[in-house]
Amino acid sequence: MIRHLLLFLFLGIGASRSIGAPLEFNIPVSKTPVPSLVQIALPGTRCAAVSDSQSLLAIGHHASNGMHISIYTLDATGTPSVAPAAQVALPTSPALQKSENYPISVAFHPTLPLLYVWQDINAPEMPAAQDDKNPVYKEFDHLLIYAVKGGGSLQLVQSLARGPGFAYKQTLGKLEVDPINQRLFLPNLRVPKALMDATASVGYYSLDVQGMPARTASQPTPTPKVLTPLVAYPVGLGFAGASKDAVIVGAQDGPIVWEFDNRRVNASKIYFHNAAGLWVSGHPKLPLVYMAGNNTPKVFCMEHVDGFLTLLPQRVTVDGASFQSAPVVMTKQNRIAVGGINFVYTFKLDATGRLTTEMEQSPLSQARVSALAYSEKLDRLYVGVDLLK
Amino acid sequence: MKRKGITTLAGALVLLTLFANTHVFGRTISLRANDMDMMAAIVEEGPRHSWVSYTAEGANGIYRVNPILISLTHSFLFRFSLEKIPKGQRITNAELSIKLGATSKGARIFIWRIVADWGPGVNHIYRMQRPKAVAWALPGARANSSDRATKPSAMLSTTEAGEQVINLTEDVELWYSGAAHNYGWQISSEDTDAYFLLSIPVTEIQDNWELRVTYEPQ
Repeated sequence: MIRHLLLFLFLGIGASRSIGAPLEFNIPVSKTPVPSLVQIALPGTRCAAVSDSQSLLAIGHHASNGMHISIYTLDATGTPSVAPAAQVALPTSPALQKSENYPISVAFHPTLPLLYVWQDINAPEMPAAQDDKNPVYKEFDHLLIYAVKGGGSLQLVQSLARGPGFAYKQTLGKLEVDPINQRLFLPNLRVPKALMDATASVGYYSLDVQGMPARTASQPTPTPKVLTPLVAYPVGLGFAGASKDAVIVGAQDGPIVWEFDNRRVNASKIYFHNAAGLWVSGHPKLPLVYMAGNNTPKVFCMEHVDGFLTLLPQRVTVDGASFQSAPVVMTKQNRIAVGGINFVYTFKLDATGRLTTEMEQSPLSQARVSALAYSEKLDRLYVGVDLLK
Repeated sequence: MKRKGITTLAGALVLLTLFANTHVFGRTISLRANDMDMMAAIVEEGPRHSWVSYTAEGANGIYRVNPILISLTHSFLFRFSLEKIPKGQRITNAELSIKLGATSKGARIFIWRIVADWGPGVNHIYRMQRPKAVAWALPGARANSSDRATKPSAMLSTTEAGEQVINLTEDVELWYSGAAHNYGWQISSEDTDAYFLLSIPVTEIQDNWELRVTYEPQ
């Protein structure tokens, strides 16, 4: 504690007049365990989400007995059911049976009984000139929307996001529901005939009041609004700070501010040196974005105004860490959690939501800790692991 | 015995030199990109962005903040924290070193001392949006005497790419002495069709911007 306090004071050289917290610092290895941690033993976990309105935990994982999504019920103390209350196998097509499909991201609608799943498939790549013959583009749907029924059972109500406009063979990405502006943000889109070399992109579906991608008379098949291509894959490692006009997108080497309807400046990318693929998450109550460099020891915190990043980010390097997940904001703990290699980390925030030098970490029996979800109602951090530790 | 005496004398001289450099003749410190605590790249065509600067031809509205483009509609705001300079000193020299990329023929680089407070949400229109929205007197922080000083602190005319060194002693002395608040500098172009590119001093690239400040005891 004293060491941290001294480090904080020592590093005050970088303190911003407006931020008041240190701008750049290192954090040593911590022996303090992560608070409120609940481990769920399930092989091959990849992603997770919590529905506080339904007291459910969804975990996406590599196929286990043919199943890809496991739903756990959560009791009043936050304890998950001993076994999954429901499981589903993600659909693919007969022509793609030899290729493994897997979930990349799961997200509950915050108020409607819906679970959105983004899946991908490890199918052979084909030249772009053969897009029209590619079985993935012809038959594979990336977005699956399930109605959540009693006891957590799932019923597939819609599957879409098929075609050459959606990249495949990706392993990272994140769905994000913006209930206020009724949008569902999508990772790893593809612009087949881009003028530029880079074809990676992101997009969003406008949602109707039922939480379904909106259809219009002129567009009976929902079509996402797509950002002009900018960057390499993976892209869409989180969407944060969404307003009606802009959103912050996690991408390679730095965040992108996508201003939807400004054709002169449609997007602007800020380069973070050595940040690699950047996971981003927004604070649900404060105008702050937290970012973690995939496969790096770096965490960032940056302020935004209505989805436009502003001023300088806090830059934190954690000794020995290699982050593997988007930050998860633990509102009641005033912390963020990030998954790493064999560890999960939590970072204490100050009263304004900025990162401090206080950190906890817990060892886990999970090589890549990427399935994290937080319940604000139950104040629990759920993490999928291979074995309980 | 004689050798020992010489060694002792040399050691004493080294110590004396170090002491003199620090306490009598002053010293020079180097402030780098990670000593900057505020930064913004603002442009007319993206008036809501705090960070937007450069676009490639045919990029369809995709911008990036590397390099920084400076033109009549693009400028860069930045502030060095001066907390590393010990109290009770007198600033004798301050030089900003930047790396200039491509320039248009005859481009002039203007460095202005910003005189208005700016902060969260700074962009082409607003100098801050929190705690409340306050607009620049002129969009782009271009009102002399209101947004920035009456006259530029420095003006550099060059077509040479590479390192440029700009003397800004008067500004740093004003800030350090408390005669003016340190709101940082604006780099701008004031000439139609003129432009130049600067390397970006964002996170961790420490060697491309430097403010060398020399001070001595008062």
